[in-house]
Amino acid sequence: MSSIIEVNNLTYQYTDIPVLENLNLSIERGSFLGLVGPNGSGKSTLIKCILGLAKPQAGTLSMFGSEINRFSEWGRIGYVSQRANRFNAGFPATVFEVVSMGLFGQVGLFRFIKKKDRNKVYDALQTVGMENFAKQPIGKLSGGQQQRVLIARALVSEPELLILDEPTVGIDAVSARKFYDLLGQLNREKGLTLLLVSHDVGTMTKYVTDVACLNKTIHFHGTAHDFEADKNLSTLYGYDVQQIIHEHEEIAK
Amino acid sequence: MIEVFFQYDFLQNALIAGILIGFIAPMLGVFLVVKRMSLVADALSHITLTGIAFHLMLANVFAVLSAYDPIFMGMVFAVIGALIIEQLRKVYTHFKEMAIPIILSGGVGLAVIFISLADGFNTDLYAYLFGSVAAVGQADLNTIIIITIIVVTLLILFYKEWFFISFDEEQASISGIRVDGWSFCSLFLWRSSLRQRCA
Repeated sequence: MSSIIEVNNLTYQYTDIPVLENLNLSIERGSFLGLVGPNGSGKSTLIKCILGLAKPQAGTLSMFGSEINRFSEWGRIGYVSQRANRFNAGFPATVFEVVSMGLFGQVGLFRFIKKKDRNKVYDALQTVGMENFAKQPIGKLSGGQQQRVLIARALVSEPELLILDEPTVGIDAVSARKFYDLLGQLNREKGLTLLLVSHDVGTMTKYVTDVACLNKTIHFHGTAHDFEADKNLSTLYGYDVQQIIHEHEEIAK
Repeated sequence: MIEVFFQYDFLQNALIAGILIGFIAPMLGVFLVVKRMSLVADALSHITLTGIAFHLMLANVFAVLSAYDPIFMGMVFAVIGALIIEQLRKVYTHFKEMAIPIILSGGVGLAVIFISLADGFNTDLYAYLFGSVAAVGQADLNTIIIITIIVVTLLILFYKEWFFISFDEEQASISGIRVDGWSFCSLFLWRSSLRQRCA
């Protein structure tokens, strides 16, 4: 297996105190990596560095084998941001239009969306089960539906790597599980490499193949099975906390 | 009533100018509204006044300049103002709306200084402050037509980029669209259509 992302000795700081320090991480093609860490551990910052939105002060970062500064094939990466509903709810765009935005980078300047591209948009909507909402204004959908649409937008350019920053925040447990099922399916069937940032450690570890624990630097990177087996680590990163909540739910029933 | 429009040139000019501006202003305006920058037009028209005042002040010293239309200096100032607004929006990431009032009040302040330096409020400046659609001449109309063509062409060509940027700047930049360039380009367009308002 070849690695899609290679991070070496990366350091990033907003102020004097580094948020990320001497971080090393490599993401293999075809893996489904769950990135966990407490608040302020630098998860979102790491994602920003990977996406080229933040320039690290030290270290190297390469994507698909080329240095980040020289990397230009952004269509190979799909991204769903932390604040999915950050856009203006009154924005006059339909679901179809929002998903087609995912193709704009590939279509290129001075070109228009063609029939072939339209079909891609419908395919992506079908993958997330939102094909019947194509003509609806995006602001009229529920949070969970909007999230699905944004994933369709990330998928429409047929990326090889999909990055999701806490995609299940504000989504109920049932929808979140369906959502993880969808991600697992994309990973297995389409061979899509996934990088998922989540606080929902208990649920997430059941779907991902690998787990990386982040707090300034990567403290653990291994299979989901090893992560669960290492009691100290999983306790530290909130695995058990989620378990207790589950027990409560069962008692309540 | 209608036949007077065929009799008088100035009425025809006013009608055509009105229709063209009424056509492109909302087309560009919608991008401003969704980006929550509705007041940028006001800020840029104030900085345009600063430019005009600056030109009139310079014209007092260098007589050569009187030959030129001060609106061009106004446009230069507006473009600079647009650039500064873009920069300020980047500096105050969480309070982006601050950029507009800074330029607006700063522009008016500077304009007042230039006006005083140019020995008071003269009639020239007054004409630029309060334009009249009935005063649109053939030259103005030509400018308006050219600008309308440029704006419509650019809008058709780059609709998808602007659409994406207005919706989600961060995502647009990730998908490889040069957000900086486009934001500036669109500000420049708003600016050019604004020039018509002055005309």
